[in-house]
Amino acid sequence: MKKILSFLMVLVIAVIPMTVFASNFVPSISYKGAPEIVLADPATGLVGEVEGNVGTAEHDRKVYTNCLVVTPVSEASTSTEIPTTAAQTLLTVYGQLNNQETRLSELSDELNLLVASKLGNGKDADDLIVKDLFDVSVLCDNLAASLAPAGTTLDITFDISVAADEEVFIMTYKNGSWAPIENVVNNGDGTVTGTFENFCPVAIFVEGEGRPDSPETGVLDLSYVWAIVAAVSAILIVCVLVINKRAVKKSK
Amino acid sequence: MLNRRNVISGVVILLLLALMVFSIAKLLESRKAVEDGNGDDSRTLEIDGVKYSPRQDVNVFMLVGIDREGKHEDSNSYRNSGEADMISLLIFDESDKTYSILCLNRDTMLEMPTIGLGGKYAGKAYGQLALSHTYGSGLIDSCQNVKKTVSSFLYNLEIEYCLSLTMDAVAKLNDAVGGVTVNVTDDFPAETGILKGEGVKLSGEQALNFVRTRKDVGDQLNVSRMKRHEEYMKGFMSALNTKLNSDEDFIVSTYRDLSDYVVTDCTLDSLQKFVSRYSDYQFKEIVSPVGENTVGEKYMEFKVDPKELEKLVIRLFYNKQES
Repeated sequence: MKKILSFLMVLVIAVIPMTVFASNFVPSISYKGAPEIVLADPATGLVGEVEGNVGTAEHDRKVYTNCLVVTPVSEASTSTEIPTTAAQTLLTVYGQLNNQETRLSELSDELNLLVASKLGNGKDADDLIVKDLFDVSVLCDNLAASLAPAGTTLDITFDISVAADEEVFIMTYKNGSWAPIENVVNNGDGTVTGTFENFCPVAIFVEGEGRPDSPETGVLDLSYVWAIVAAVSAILIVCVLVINKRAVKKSK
Repeated sequence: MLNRRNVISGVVILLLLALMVFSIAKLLESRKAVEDGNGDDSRTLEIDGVKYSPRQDVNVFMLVGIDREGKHEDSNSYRNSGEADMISLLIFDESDKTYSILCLNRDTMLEMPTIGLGGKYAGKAYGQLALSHTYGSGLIDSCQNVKKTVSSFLYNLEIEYCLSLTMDAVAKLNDAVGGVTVNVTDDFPAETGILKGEGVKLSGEQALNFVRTRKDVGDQLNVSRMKRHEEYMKGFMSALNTKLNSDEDFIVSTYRDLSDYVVTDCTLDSLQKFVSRYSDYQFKEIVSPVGENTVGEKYMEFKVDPKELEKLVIRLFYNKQES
């Protein structure tokens, strides 16, 4: 009996480190596709609470992750979680925003004013680039009802890996037009919080490196400059000699 | 009048001659500075009062293994799901005709450029090096984003070409060179078919498992997996050398066979020239930046020791400037 117990002890001792070892596996980062929503309470899955007049007491104020789905452009045509119309709209606006001919300043006058106020006069939406585009769809009817009355809003924080000092602009697309979100906060840790009245395609904008119509600048290679100066000097010497020679001939 | 004209012409010619001589002198000076590695001030490093210039006799080729099976595909978006799982620099030193391999940990925490819609630069993000490939469509734009990230991380190192390959290419390349022999120092799960021991010749699938698997292998850390990458790269380069010596069409035929699994900014012609230039170089060493593995909020992070990285970069890529 003693021998069996000892044997069992040895087995248990041998197995425990293996299971602990296997459970110590920490995964490496993998790309999730859509920007992650930063939860107000990760323990419960709470995203946030709807502000404003939600109508009746039965309507939910609290919003949990199961009621929202974020879909990136790359998954729009294959997603089974969002309505077909939402997927189609996302792809359509992606085509619009991805087109080099599209002038962002023509999307929304309000955005132009917002850009001027935050980045300075003389700047408009053409000074921005689209950093991210995704769909946010509401899956719960109760939440949709809560957000239906005008003036109701929901603060959502997205992790979009934005620089701490970056000025961020957010627009949502509804009924064929873009509208900027007034209240956008860069939290300084790569996340931004926006106060949303509606969702569907959400576009994140940051300041670009140059306007689409500005000429490209480059670094001048001095060796080429000196080569040109030397060549021009040689040509001018020849010209002066030729002119002088003709003048001497003429005077004779 | 004629004498006055002659005098003026003479003065103008003398001034132009002086300008021409001065320009030629400056041109020669700047050319010499470039040859000596002193021409590019933006890449000069100064450490403890000592200046270092980038070497001009070192060429760097970046290899990226993407954590994705199948062929390379356009994501039709500005992001893609292919993380850079293996990032290695082949460093060809023309002064002593050797090559070294610098392996970078995919969990290295650093700043990387991001790509927005329209392929435009959308600011920087801080995160694991593996994510640098997920910006862009998954094709050459993503490969070049990794190149820019690594270049910036290594003090603006000039990397001549990048080449990314999917997991399936690893297996095919392995078999194309006739199998790769490695020393296996860890126990692998039985289903991988990899046995522990010295001088183990790996088949295609085994090679993929050898470089890819870390769960239930050894200490399950990426740094240990990187040691296996280093071991594999050594074995692969040796097998490749043997193959190149026996099959002069190897590069062309392999490039063609693997074209669906490989993305590169190097043309076939340039690749052939590259290979023929460096194929008889001797292997020198494999190195990795020193740092610390930590567990972030959810994922592994590798924080490089900045002083050690600086020393490594200077040793591999710089010369002390003559004062």
